[in-house]
Amino acid sequence: MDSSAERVESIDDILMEILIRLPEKSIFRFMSVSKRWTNIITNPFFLKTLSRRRCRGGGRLLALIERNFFPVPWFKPLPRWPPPMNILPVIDDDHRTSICKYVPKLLGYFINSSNGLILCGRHPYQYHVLNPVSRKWVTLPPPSPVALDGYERKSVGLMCEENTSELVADYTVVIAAAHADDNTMRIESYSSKTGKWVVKKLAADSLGLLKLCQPPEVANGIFHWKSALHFGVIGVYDPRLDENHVQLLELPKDVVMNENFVSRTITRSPVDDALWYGFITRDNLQFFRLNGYSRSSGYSSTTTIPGTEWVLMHSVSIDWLRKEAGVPPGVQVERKDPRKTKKISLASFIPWNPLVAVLRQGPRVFLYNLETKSIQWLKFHGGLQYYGCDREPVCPYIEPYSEDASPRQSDSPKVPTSGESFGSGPQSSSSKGENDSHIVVDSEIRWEDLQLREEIGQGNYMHVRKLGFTIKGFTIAPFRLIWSSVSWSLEWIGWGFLHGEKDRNMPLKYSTETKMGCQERRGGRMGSWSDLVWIIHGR
Amino acid sequence: MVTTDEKGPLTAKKKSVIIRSCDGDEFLVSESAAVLSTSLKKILEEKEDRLIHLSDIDNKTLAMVIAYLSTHADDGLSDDLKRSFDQEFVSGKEFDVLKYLVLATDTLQVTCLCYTVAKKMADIMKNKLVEWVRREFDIQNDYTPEAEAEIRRLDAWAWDDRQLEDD
Repeated sequence: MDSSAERVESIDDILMEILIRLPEKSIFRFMSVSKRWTNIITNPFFLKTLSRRRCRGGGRLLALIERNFFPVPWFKPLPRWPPPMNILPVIDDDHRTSICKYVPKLLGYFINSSNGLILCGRHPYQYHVLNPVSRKWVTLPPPSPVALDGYERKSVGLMCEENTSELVADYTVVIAAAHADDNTMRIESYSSKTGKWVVKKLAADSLGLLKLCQPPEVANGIFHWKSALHFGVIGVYDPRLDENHVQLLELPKDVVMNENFVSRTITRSPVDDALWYGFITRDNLQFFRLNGYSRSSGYSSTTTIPGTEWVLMHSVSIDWLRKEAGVPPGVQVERKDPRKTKKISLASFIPWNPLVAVLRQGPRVFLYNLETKSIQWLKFHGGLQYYGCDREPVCPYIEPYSEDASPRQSDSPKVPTSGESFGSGPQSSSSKGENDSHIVVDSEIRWEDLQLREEIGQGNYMHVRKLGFTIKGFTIAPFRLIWSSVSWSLEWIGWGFLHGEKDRNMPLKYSTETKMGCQERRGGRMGSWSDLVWIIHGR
Repeated sequence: MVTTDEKGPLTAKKKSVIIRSCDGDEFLVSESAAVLSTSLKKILEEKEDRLIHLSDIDNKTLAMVIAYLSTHADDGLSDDLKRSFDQEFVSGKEFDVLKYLVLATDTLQVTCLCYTVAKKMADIMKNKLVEWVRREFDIQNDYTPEAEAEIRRLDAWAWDDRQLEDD
């Protein structure tokens, strides 16, 4: 081996420059190279740089997650339809979109996402924070059982923070509730640093905040709550500042009085920390920017910022947008069947530079670049394309850090030929010659993962244990089927019988994964009973 | 022997510096290009010597670095062109070549080139096995098998990629 290798390795600075540019996954993997590498990776300076990179955002758009924020009590089983966490992968890259496949759907509803972490759960008592990249999740302790005294616990938000002591991100979860009478907000915040919920009372200037109807939008570490439109305010709370007041922002007058309103969204520009407000009506799409208001510019939080501070930065007519996007002309009104709607609604922003807005027309989603005025349709690779909840926003899930200098918005679709992706993998232990081999399986198959939507509800899963074997294309494995609820659970132990041509010679675990893969290739139509036949004997 | 790159005749009118590699070859570089390297700049400020001897950079690597410096010192080129030059510069280069380059950037303290090369190296490394990295950097594994297994167990998700390469 030449001397350059040793010399590169021996200089910490060079090694750090290389390591910091690796994806998180590789960094974790290379911790086992040597003790010196572990020391470099766990050194506070390296971790600080890494977490700053994580919080800077601006990475590729990986998926859109449909937000369906129904306040389902924790003790009720999740309704079968719509799916609790509908992740629509935008790029078809096996390495990355696998994150979408591995989100355990038992965790409940998607609530919010921030810098690569996902907050999900069952409102208002059960919350989980999930890192889809490492496939680890944390169940938060239940919020304090203190009586709410007239407060309505309504809105939950998540914010990812920088962390310099560990390789994982810190986060804050905030539950906000407003009081009906005395203009106060009660904020319960959970910090992963302390592991505790802290209750705080904040004053607010007007009753407008009462309608905490949606999860807050988190941008640059600040929570923004939208009020009902006719109140026309936004409540702003920065947990890092020790303030006991919620800053209120009035919205521009045309926005508040507009009767043709369709949808709206807010974000902070990553460049100058300015607040942007996107607004779509039946006639046009408008973007306002709040000049001069930022964390550093010294606004006192007790003053309500008047609506006149907003500046209209960008406005296009819906007709122009329809023409550019190739959407047939139509009226911006709701239809009973949302699939047939011609309405274009504004779903969210992607905080790139320049800003990009996510617009939605029925089941289809496109991106609109505010600077170049260009339109890009998104193609989904899997997920349930649409279930008709037209009014719910879609939330972009962005790569936690930027690996490339300029974010690529989508890759050209790459469809693996069947059998290639799993069958020839190094972990596929059986080959064609060993048709009747014994396979030791200890894996959990969730109905939700298979997306068998008929008849079997959420919360039930199948456990395949210890032993399974394949005979002439059929895999037989003992399994345990569990229907569970908090108050009762039903177990059923029997023999499962899995058939499929493509699954031949594969361990059961991989055969189910292949099934999922095939169905994705079929264009998002996930399994049905004909795909997977289980013959069940009762015990 | 004095080697000039294609910018030589143009920049020769300006002040120029001669840089000698460890192989003994000499390169004529315009001063505007040389000062992009922090360490060369320091040397030039300290003494009026027009001949700089670099004892640990070989011919091939030095030629590449000088080509990079001259391009970036050229005011006639737009930032976009320079950026695409950077992309071209590292594309297709072997990992060994990059190792020499990154060492040279460390000696010469050319930060922007160091970032470009480190990015390229990270791109090559990201889907590689740990064993590949050990081989390329000539690292002795100082973990006991148990300790290594423990690390792998703790962060199992980092290993389940089916696309890891070993060459």
